[in-house]
Amino acid sequence: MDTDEMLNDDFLAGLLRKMPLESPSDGFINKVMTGLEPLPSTMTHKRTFFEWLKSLIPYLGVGLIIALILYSSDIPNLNFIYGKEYFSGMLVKAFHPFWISMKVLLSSRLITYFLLISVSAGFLFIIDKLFSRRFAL
Amino acid sequence: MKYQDDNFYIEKVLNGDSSAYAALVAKHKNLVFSIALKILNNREDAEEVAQDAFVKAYQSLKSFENKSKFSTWLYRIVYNAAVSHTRKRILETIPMDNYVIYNYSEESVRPGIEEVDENEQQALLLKATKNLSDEDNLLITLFYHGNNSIEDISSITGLSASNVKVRLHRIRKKLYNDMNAMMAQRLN
Repeated sequence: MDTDEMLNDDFLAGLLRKMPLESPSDGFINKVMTGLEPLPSTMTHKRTFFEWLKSLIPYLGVGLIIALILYSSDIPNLNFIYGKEYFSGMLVKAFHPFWISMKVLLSSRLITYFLLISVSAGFLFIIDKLFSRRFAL
Repeated sequence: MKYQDDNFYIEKVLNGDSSAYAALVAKHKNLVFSIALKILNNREDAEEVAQDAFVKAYQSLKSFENKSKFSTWLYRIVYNAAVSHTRKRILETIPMDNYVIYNYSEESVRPGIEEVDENEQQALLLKATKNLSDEDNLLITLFYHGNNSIEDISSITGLSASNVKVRLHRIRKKLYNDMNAMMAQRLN
């Protein structure tokens, strides 16, 4: 008998093929399907207007801070902005009660430490929220 | 359930219909799971490895070049994953013995088995396969259940085609011998 004929011998092959295979648990297909992510070529994600607007927030925030710094600075070239002194005066007046209460609070060393830590942590948290998610893969 | 050719589903998946992959999973899950189980000997581990193999095959579907059958490619993925899981090489190359291949007559061991009815033949075969090593059972699964050619099995396991052939011959001989011995025991 030729070797290939022997390997494909109908008698044993027939018997072996009738033996049932082991099967995985019932939810196997679902488990596989939930583990799949769209193939790179088939990924389609249309950005909504709200998402686009949301993505501008960090840039607007940074822009606002830069504008405030420039506006409240003594850079000679910015002297042309009309009403700068008036606006600065208004801000100081508006924040006056806040500065007073801060002064009271900061007279306690414990509160100073607490505020220092929480403001730093809050600042880091906001920076992390604003920037890291945007650049995550 | 009657399934279409693998390429039918592959094309659908590549065109963005990822749900078509479920049919491929359903079609091959038993064999993929059996391969993993034969290597790992643990149902939970085998299921996890089989699941990972399907996910990996899906992610690499774009790079599948139709040079081999999808099933052969998939079985190679699960085989490698299961072997990596056990961190050992399960199929060692065995020395070639041409005498065994070309001069062994199957007729000398087969008579007797064909005399009994099919249910008994199945029962005897089931017992005989339990006497085989996991590696030999794996080769049987790939050859008889997976309908893989000697070359396919060689590509899946990394063994040479001649070695696969020798192993399959030895397995068959052992199965016949064991079945005959069991039959003789019953008669006595």
